[in-house]
Amino acid sequence: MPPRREVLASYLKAISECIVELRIAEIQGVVKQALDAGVAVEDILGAVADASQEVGAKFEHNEFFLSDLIMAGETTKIALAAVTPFVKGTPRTSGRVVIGTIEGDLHDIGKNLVIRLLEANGFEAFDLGIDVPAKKFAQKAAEVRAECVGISALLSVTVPTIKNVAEHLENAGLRSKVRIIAGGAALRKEYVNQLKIDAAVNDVVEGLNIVKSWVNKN
Amino acid sequence: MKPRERVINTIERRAVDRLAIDGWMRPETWLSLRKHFGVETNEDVMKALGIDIRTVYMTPPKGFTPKYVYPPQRLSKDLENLYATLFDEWHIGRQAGSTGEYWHFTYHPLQHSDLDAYEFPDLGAEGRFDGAKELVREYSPDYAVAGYAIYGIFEHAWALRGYETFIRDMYTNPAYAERLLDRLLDWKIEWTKRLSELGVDIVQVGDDLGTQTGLMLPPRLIKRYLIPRYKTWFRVLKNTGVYVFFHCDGKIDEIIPDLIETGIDILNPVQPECMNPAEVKEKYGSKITIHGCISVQQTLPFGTADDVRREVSERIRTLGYDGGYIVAPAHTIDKHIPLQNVLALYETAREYQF
Repeated sequence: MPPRREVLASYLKAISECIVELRIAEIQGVVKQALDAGVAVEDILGAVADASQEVGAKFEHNEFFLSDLIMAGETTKIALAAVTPFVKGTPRTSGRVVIGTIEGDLHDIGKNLVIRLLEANGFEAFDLGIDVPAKKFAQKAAEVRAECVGISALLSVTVPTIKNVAEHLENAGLRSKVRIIAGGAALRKEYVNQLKIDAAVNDVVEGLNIVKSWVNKN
Repeated sequence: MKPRERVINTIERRAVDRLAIDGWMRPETWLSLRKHFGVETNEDVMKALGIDIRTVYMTPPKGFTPKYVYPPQRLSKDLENLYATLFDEWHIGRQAGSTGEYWHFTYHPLQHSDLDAYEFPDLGAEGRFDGAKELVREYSPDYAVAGYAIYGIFEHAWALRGYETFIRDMYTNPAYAERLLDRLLDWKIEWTKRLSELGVDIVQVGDDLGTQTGLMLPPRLIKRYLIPRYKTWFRVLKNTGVYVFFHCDGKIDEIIPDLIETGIDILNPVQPECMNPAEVKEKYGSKITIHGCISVQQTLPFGTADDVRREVSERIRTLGYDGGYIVAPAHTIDKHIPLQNVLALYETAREYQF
């Protein structure tokens, strides 16, 4: 028998709090308790998604810092891993995103953070790593039928290379199906047309919200 | 006025003929500048540009050869080093990117070894400071000499342990994080004391704690793990009579007061894309000298020579009116920055009339 509404709410609150308060050592036990008590997997996933939203909002309001996001991402990953065996059928994904740091640039902190946030929000992220040639983004997007390509760049000098990603997608006949977002310290919003991309951001949460809005419209 | 006097007077807010100038370049830029001036050495380039500071470094000891591990597939000679992993004295592994210009860490020894059993390199090993000693003798007393040690306790801790692993240590395994930082602190103090004993004027230290939009760590963790250790470190250094130069990229305005409290004299680079340099000057200019501030993310690579001249003049006007500003690019100048922009930076800095 499913637990009473207030009991259910208390389990879900405990899961959310554990993620938002970055209590990584406790999350697995808290999720297990909820599952043992008969809380539905969908409700747990909903609580995890709500907590991720709250973490993102805290970062936007400067209450959370990069390291907090890393810890929240780790905590979320453990929560999701704990419920995955109980998910019936093919798990629903919010969308597929191919992501990497552009050729010539080796920075990966921002890229890894975006991947965590995407995954915490139900996206499948295909990580190409660092120093990735433009062609590879297009190849992978075709292979996994991605809705979106994410490009990370910190070094200003690598920015011009980003437009090659759009060109490779165009050559593959995929440009109309795949949106491109570039993010990182080197990017400015006014580069969008010049680089033939759909969005440029300096903030991970803003980037996540843009990707979500694209996928929701599709 | 001799360069050393100019640097010290700039820091001490005493009269100068012009503000002190500094700069870091990538090897390709040094080569282009040598060609441009028709000279043989980087020292000649520095003289031509008007750079007032000379930097000296500790090197690996005599007989140490870095270890390269090559990928299993056969590669041409040109590509071999590009894709090899280089292991330094700490057994930290790093690999060059496809352009060969930058490296990234690929092996973190403390993910594989116990901290207590892990030995740090011996600072007393023969030959480490021989080159630096010679150069200090050559440059002093004309130039201000800086001993380079920009590899702080936070950066070194995560290079040894892995970035995300060390972040996790700070949240969930504080005893380990503290132990590692303490051991690194002892080692850094010893390293920089030895540089100071050579007779340098400035010791350059640093830790990158900022991203483009904010701090990497919450201030409470910076105050818990780093600030007290910086205080200990810089107190020792200042007692040896050097100026402490602190490098920290990114948007870090929230912790500038804490850094000032640790005893730093010079803050670099006050990245203009992340913070307003004039505001930093207004708030903290009476306590620290600002070093850097010329945009390497926008103006130098993408602006015209006139844009560079305007920016340099603006910085000198707003940051250097009472001294306390050393004109320099906000990071290393790499080969993608047009040479005329590099020349415009230094020419404007040399010729600016108050």
